[in-house]
Amino acid sequence: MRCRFAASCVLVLALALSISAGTLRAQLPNAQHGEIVPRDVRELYDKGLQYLAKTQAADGGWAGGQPGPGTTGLALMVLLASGEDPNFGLYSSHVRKALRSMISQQDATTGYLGNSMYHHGFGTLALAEAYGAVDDRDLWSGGQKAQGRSTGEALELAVRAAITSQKKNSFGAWRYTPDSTDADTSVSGSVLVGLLAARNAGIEVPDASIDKAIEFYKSVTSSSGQVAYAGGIGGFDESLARISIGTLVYAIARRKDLPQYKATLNHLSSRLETTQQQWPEYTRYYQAQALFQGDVDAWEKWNKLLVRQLKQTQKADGSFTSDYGPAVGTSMSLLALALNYKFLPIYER
Amino acid sequence: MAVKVPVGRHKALRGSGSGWLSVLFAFLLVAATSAEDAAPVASAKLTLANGDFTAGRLIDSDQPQMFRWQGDGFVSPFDFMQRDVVSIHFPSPAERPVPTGDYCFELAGGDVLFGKLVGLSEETAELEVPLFGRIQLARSSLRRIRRWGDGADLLYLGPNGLADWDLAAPASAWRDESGHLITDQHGAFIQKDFKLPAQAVIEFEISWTSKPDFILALGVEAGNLAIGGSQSFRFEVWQNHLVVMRETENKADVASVGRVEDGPGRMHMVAYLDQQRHRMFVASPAGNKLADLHVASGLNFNYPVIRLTNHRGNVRLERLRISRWNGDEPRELEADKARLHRADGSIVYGDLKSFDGSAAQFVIAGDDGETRVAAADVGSIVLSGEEISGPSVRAVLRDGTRLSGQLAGVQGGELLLTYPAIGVPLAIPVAELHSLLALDAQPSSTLWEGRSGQLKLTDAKLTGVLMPGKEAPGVSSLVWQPHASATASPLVPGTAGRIVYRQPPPPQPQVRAQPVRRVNNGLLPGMFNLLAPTNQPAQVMGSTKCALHLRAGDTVPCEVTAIDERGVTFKAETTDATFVPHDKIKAVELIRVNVPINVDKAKQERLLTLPRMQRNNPPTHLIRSFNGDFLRARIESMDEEFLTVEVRLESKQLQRSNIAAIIWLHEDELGDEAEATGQLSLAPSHVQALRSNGTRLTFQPQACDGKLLAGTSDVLGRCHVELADVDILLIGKQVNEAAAKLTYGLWRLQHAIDPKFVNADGVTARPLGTESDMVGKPAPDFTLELLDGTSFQLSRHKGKIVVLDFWATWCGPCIQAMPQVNEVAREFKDRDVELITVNLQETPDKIKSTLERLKLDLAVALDIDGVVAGRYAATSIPQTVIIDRDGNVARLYVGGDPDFADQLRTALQSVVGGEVPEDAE
Repeated sequence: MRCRFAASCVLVLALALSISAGTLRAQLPNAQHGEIVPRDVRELYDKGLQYLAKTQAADGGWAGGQPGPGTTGLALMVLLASGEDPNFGLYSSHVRKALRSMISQQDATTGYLGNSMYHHGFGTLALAEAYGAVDDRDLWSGGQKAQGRSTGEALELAVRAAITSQKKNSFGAWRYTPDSTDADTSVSGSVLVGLLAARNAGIEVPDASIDKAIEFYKSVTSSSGQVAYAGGIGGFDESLARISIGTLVYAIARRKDLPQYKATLNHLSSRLETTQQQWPEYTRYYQAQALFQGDVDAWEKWNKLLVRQLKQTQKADGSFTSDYGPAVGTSMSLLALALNYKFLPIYER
Repeated sequence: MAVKVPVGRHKALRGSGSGWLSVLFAFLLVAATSAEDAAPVASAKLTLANGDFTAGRLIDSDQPQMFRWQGDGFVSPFDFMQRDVVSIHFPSPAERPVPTGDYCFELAGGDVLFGKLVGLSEETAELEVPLFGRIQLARSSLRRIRRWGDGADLLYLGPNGLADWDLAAPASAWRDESGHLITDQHGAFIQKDFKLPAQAVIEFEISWTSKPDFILALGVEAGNLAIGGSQSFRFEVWQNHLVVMRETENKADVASVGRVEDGPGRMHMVAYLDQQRHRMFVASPAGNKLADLHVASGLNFNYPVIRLTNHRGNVRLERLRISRWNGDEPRELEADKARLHRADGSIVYGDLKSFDGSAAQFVIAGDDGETRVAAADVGSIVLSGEEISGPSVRAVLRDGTRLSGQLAGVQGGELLLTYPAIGVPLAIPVAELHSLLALDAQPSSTLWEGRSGQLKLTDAKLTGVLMPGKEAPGVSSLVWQPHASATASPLVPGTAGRIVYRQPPPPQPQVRAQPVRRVNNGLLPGMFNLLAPTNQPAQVMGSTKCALHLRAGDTVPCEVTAIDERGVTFKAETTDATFVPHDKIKAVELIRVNVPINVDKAKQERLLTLPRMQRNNPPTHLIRSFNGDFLRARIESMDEEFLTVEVRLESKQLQRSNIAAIIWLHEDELGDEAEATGQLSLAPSHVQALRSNGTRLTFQPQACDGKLLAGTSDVLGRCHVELADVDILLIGKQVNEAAAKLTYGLWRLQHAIDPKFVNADGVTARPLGTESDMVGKPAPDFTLELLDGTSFQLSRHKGKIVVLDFWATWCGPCIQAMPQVNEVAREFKDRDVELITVNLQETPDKIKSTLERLKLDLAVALDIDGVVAGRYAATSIPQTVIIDRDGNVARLYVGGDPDFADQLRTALQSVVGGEVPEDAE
């Protein structure tokens, strides 16, 4: 477990870097521009980053498509994963604006982030990634200061909301609304990864909650590694996105011992050249993390294809289109690429 | 000569005896006003006596006996001498104008005018023709005056050139000659929808030079291409007889109307066709009845088409005249005598002496003296006269007017035609022309310097020579001089076509290669050897030289030194160029191979099929080892020693010395052929010279001196070809089309075919369930153990409807479909429907755990060895089979759609007997 109190940017960044490297050794803050990140990746990422910075709305969120804390959270993670200093760097004001936007959209009583559990999940994850990395002592100013929650408070509240929702759910997982009684592996993936990130950041998440959610995933994973959308719905049609989500949640929950994990990972790494036609950016977002967590060699191969495909699909303005609008498309595409930088704590292996 | 009275804008011009040139001058003054509003003419087609043609438009020229022609795709006009031109056909409007006037005047030589008769003397006739105003013509040129609009309307007088016909097949088999249509090909036919009325008179003249064998079918159903049409009245040649016949469902009749002998001959007949009464009279022009055919038919129809089909020898349609008929039987008459037909059918023999305009009476001078007939009582008047000679061009107007004469020029958008009987040029607006037919075309035989070739554009074929030319804005350096034209013209840049100097010899039959002994090169042996050549050679791949093959088709003999992410670096003796980017390369051959490698079609298809899994990561190259193995990969680089490739996302190194050739599989070539051919990034004015030594050179032409064509190649820089060495010069878009058909051009990746349920249009192709050959046949009997330990024998369930659902736990679609099948089968439980799921070769444990997870309780037959699946040809699952009460296969479905339940429900309803179960909703 790691301590998340930011003293200075250098310290925080060094911490993040050291953990990603697996051992405690100091690195210079600009080490991300080393030779290990290929030029193609840097160019793609910078162009997309600039697009997101340019299109951030005055309230700190991103308009169009699916605006809300989840979308803002994804873009926030792109900013954090870039390696630019979150407190003093090029995008520090964007980071703070995004954080304020998310927290102010959170229900102060229930902790629910935005208008669906997808937003809640991605929002929770982003808060967890920002927690400790962003110096939020002066996040709020003037009149806002009284009501404004800190990142930690907001994260804790969000975790509580997710657990409350899970308790009401007979599957022990999540679906679109906090009160849903049924569950699916897509929404649940976003919430569960958020919870796991919060736990990694030092927020208390009951083991029972994680175990229950993992049980749900086990129940919908076939021996061939297919992951169903929901019990009884859709069956085991091939979805690389859901298989990736399965792989990822087993890995981050430290359940690599499960046969279901091996099955999903095996399924995934034997289909590196397959590109899912539907929601490709959503698939890539999870596929990148799942392969990185499960099989770095496979990830490296797959990453080569990813870079090639993103180079072909990036628009002149740096954005990537998606069914959920360019902010989500760009964020998810860049986060798939962000594994090359390995700056976000959630990428730890 | 008579005096002209100009009326209206369009005028007949006439002059004094001093000749028509002075008249022409006068005309120019008049025509100047009409030039402004002369509408531009859409593309017409000019055909030359040597069979060449060109689309374009007729433009002004003051030269007599000459057509100035602005061809489509050419910068400047050609001057074609009239004697070289066979015809010009102008685009027809959707609706052709109807002629106006009291009378149709048929003139000597087959000309026709519509208008009013103003006056008639022994010397002249004065007519009021809407298009020309008042004109006077020599009376001796009048052949017949026919009341217009009395039901005896002239519907067609032709044949008016080939383009006038709806269909000439094959088109090349027919030709225009002196206004006639000729063919000597077996099976060739022409046809036109004349909208034949129920009662029609069809007069025709047909000739031949050797014993004929043709069918002239009258009243053919539109769209019916059976020879002779169904139930039409036909003129046919039966041995030595020309017969007229008709055959209906159960009746037929035939009558001879004359004999045909060996050698040349002709026929001139008049057919009185009454389709409503199923009857046709045939008469000679003199009105002698030759046949009277009455063959009843159960059908009551009125078919509009006339078709002429040649069977043997040759046939020439000289004249075809169609008019309405009032149904009165034709009378015998003295055909060669001048006469007047009254509207009541009676005939007054004698010469037309005059027309009394004030009394509206015609005066006939017969043997019995003068007879006066009121104009209102006249049907038609036949006049005697002399043939006139001299007309060289016939103009057919859109309203059916036909005029022949000498071409005096084209001015202000009007054709000036000197009609001999009028003596002065008539001005016919080009916009009113339907066709111009040369009556005395004689191809000239001028000798040209330079190499003769045939320029073929989309709408032109012109024999000629390439003249000196230089590229300029809007002007190509390709200047074409047709032999038949006095002038040459540059092509418009971007025009697609080809110049054929010599048809290259057909490719030599391919020699089957001797088996090549494979040497294990130590690198990727598995991959290479897996793709070993089969022993069915079908296609030779590439040449045996070290060369670079460009996508455009050019071959550059060279040594390839390196490949990097930008392209290929090479050394060549023939060019100073050393680099070519990837998007311009199609293949490189690296080592000299003495024996070409053969690849059979199936192997080539396999090598070029892109699996669905790789759809978004297609290989970019096909690498061939010197022993004939193939590897699909993405080339990263090549130096003198190694070729570095990415195979399935992994980097591999190959010894360069083992590589014989590399083919580029461009991503933009994927997809259908049309797309693939359009992907070459060549400027539209590129040319490609296909030289007699088989090599190609593609470049942007810039200058030609008549012997050398020089320009710049995208890859090789400055270059030139000697026209003497060129077999074919491809121009513009045709370069791309030709490249796609070259040996290497044919190596293009194709997507693997999608399964039916994800068709490209996104619409699920719904199976009917009756596609399988098994449907309707007895269901193969079987006995299998069930999961609960009991057993199931199909033949014991006769009288029940059995649904078999073949599945396996690993089959996602099966798991999706099975709950639906179970649900529907339950709905029909009370209707003797029984569901047996047949699991393929899995253990009971696995099956049980899947059923538990799916919360399904159903009968599972254990097809442990897959024998039953084999009997039901269940090579793809899920497969659902409905077996009816008699034990026959009623439906067989492969694959489960999302809405499979509905399909199954509908199918069961019909198998059960059409009853809808109460709980089906």
